[in-house]
Amino acid sequence: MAKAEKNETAATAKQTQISQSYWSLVWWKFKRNRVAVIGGIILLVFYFSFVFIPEILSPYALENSSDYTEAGPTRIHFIDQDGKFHLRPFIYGVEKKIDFTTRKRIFIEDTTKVYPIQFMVHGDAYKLLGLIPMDIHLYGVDQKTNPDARVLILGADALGRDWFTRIMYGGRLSLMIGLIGQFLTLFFGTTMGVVSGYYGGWVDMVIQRTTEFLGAFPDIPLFMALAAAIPSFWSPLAVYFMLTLILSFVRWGGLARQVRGMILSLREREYVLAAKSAGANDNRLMFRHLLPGTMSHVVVIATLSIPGMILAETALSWLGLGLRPPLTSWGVLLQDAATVRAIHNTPWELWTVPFIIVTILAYNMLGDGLRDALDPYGSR
Amino acid sequence: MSEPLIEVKDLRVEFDVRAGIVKAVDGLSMTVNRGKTLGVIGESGCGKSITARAILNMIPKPGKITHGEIIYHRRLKSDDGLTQMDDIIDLAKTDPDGKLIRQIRGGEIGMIFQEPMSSLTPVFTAGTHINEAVSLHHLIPIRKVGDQIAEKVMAHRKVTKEEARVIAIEMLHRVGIPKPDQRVDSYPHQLSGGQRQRVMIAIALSCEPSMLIADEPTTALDVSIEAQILDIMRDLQQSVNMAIMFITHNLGVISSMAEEIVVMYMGKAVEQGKVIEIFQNPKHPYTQALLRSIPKLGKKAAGERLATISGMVPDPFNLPTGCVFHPRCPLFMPGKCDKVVPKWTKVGDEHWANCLLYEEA
Repeated sequence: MAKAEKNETAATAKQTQISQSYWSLVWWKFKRNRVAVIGGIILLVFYFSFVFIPEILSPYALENSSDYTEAGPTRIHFIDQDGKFHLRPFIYGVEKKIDFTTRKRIFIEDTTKVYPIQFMVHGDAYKLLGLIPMDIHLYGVDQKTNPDARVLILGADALGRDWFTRIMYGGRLSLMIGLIGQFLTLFFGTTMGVVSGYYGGWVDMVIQRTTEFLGAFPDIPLFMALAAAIPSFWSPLAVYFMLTLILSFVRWGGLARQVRGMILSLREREYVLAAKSAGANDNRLMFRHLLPGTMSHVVVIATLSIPGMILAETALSWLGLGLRPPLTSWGVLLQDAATVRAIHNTPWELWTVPFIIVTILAYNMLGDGLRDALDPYGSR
Repeated sequence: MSEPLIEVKDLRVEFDVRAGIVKAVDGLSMTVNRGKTLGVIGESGCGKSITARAILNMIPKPGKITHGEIIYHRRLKSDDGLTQMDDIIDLAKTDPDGKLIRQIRGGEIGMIFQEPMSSLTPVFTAGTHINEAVSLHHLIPIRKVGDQIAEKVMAHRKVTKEEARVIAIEMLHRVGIPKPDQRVDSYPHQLSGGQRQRVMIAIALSCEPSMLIADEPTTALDVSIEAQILDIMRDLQQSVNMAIMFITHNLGVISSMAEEIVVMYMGKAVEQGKVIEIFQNPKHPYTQALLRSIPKLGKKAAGERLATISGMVPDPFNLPTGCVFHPRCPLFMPGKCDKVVPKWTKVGDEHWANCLLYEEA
């Protein structure tokens, strides 16, 4: 009896396996690629923490400046002067002095003042997702009882703002510009590619020559010209959206060519003729029958080119052509850290770089994994 | 009595390619009657498929219809299904991307193709395919007996998702797919070749067209599936009174399907007549040669070879003068066949041939 039951479950298990959909097969293949999964998890964590909850993770509000100008990273202690271990980490208060030989501010720990670090502490008020008013921060020193103390785990900038907070908020814009820009690029690229490949003839000619024209321009001067065209009186946010538009406008060509190539081969398939003989019009053929056939390829291209988008934003902002203060993005933060003086005096401002590198690496890991998983003709 | 549905009159389709002009169809005339099956046979490249595509005005570039008419006797039922409205349209003159021809394609003239493996869009389920055909033509195809009122209400209205699914399952059931309520969610790669061809037929029939063009529908299938598919087509033809234009090079299939046959050679009709006439009393030497080249089981004498048609299909850029078949014809009459172009001659009761043998001198 038990055996028969077991057989039955085995049979149903087999049945469900047979009728697995394409996407569940892709997911199964993707899951086995550990590197890609790690990349995906890193990106999920980054996007969630930088886009949705940087207010909670960072101990201060973005514009909360203090007189801790260019203070180095705060040391976090577990063992006090008497050698006693505390489970709750604490920081010492600091005394600000000026070193007259180097003409530089130095901060000396004052071991008499002990400030315990608290978790889920009340601090600067903010609105989560722009809606929910809150004042909880993941960690920090209670500002009501100890207004002088500051915990700056990655140091502070010239205005005494917490650098870790700035990286968190900067990530929001840098990561979003990658996504929004890539979305626009996808939209332009696939539409132009499908139209170009489907109609052929002079339409194809015009679109392809346009992509070549855009591709023949050196990137940076083109960005400079377009960025210079943005009026200086625009609000930083308008500049931000203009910049995503510019980035995607310059970058749709490559995708359009790849989609066109795929459409050129797909449009000769019999199912296109069959759909046409069922009365489908051009739009339907292009966007319902042909476009989905290129999607697995497009998804991979998109994933692999988002890092390019993020890097472009970073590079442009670093050159001063992209986002400008008071907006905070990773490019803007890098601009702060770009002088020899900054590298010498405030090397902690380079902490932005590892965040950028990890993001780009994670995207590439994920993209490679997706390419392997989505390829139905792959040997493995 | 036979009543014409499609009349092809002196149709010419030319492809203007770099090496010259290819006359894919050269002065073809034929008639498809309402509710009847017309078989079109001929060698590969004789213009059968191009004729079918010309009827739907879907000639691939750089081809175009340069001459002739394709008269379609359109019959539209009014909303209450009682009065009829007849209309005559020259399909060759419609705008190939226009609304009219798109209504006719699929809605009034359905088409199924040779390759069921590649004729379904790989990203859509079987149900989606059928629903697409239905929603493109805003029709409710199921005619439930005694449900006239409901039908009247439902006509010319967009189909909801639930209705469309029911329609798709019903269509799959009619073409004999087992477990249609499960198969409706299958993707093409999960179906066998025979099932895919059944889905194609279901798509073509879902709008109850007045004519079905079947372009070698069973060539890619094995013999037992072929027999099933042909059975389904015959059954459905009777239930919806639909004309079929059956294109094939399989003489066995055509003899069981068609009432009338057109034999094509190099873009021309060379013989036309009733099935029995053509098979028992072929007039044109090409038809005779075609019939001789069918392998016959058990009738073979020792050492006898299968009869073939000598020579090759002529170069389309360099067509022979006179009768195009004369270089390969066993009954070649020197001085006549290579000079004079044969005319369409009546050789029997409803039987015509295009051969100088039967023309009066």
